[in-house]
Amino acid sequence: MIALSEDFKMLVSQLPDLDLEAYLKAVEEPLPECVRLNTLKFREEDVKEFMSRRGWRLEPLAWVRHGYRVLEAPVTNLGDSIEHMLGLIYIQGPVSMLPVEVLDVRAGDRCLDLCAAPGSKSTQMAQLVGLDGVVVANDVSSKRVKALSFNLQRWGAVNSIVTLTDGRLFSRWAAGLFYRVLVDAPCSSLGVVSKDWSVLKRYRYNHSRRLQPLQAALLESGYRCLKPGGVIVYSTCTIHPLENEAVISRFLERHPEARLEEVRPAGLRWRRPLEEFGGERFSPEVEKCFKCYPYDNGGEGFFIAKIRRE
Amino acid sequence: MARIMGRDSFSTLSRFLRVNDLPSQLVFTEKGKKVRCVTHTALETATRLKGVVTMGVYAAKKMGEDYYLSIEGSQLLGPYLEGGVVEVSMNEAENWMRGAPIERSGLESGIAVVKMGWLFLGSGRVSRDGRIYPLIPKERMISHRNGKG
Repeated sequence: MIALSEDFKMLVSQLPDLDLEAYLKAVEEPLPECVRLNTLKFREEDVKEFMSRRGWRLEPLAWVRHGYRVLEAPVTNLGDSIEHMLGLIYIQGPVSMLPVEVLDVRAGDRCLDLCAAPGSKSTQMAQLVGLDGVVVANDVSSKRVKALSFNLQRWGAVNSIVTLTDGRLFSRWAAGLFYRVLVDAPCSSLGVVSKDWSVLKRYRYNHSRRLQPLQAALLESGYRCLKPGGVIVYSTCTIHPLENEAVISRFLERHPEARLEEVRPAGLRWRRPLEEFGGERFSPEVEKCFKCYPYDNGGEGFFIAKIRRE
Repeated sequence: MARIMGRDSFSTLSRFLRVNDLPSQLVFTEKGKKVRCVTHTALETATRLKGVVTMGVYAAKKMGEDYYLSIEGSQLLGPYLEGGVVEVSMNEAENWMRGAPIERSGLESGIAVVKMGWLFLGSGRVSRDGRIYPLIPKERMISHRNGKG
């Protein structure tokens, strides 16, 4: 039986589209095991052939290049496999691979991952930009930057730079420098509870309320780092509208020149973002964002917004 | 402050290296005993940023007169080596990744790079008893229980 805080129960009562029973059933299950193959260091066909010989069975994920669901593996713990240790694969949740795919990163792009640790999405960007592009992977925590550097090393990301700064200040020295920016913001993590059920017991409304200004400031700073015509993706792994729809709606109010683009990935179930929450009515544009609950795809709950700077 | 190595000095990383065949985007930087590999674009971008912690990947480390290659260094430079590479079987590769030495006869002492087919597995020190001892950090080794229990 998963314990729920009073604040979480209150949140559920305010989300008309959330099926609590389905949500709890979904988060009781571990996340499906998925991996991304490293095309920065190796040829995808070689990696697949090598893994197949070692007893792996993989099924491609429809919404992400180089992403696969693991049907069978020669080891119980994927993190203890030769493939992981040598940087042939990156173990990552299936929906968590989507934000970078939505960012539409192309070879040669100069990209910024503003809240990068532990580096899953930075490594994904690194393989898509190739040797002529560059990924700047930033994080504010020196402890988390160690994990970030370790993962970029394992991935062979010769095209990466790790920086340790407060993402809210990044635009002071990097305004207009990037074609692509990812703000995978710190959040209340209510979409990835499978990893840690205690999140639901510990959840407090104040947590979301305190995170929102930080998320808004990170989005603002990331947006300023964009070149005209560039794209920013804002994503969270939470289901709370205060950290999702509200952040985007208020951003659009401040930036009438910004253009929100529709996010409708193939192969994933999504739902319409809320039109209002807690008495706040959101911009109708917000419906273009992607939102899913953990039970929609048997994976993580996510919110993703794609914004182009005109 | 890291020093950018000139292309003519890349051969110090390995006397077997076909320097001219390396991808033109790559640069090596040296700081103390450590050598990192980074792209020109990343190096140029870094000059415009604050709070830079690292660039590219750690590729090699000086050990006496020789350089040993990290796993990534071996994967980057391995395809351009004309010698000093030892081919291993899958079984030997698994043991190597657990930290066990590989037995080979007739090797010169120094540093050898290990590979299995196209996959480079880092480098090791060749001892006088003919064994190659892996120079792989513990956090990159697989456990002895590795497998399906």
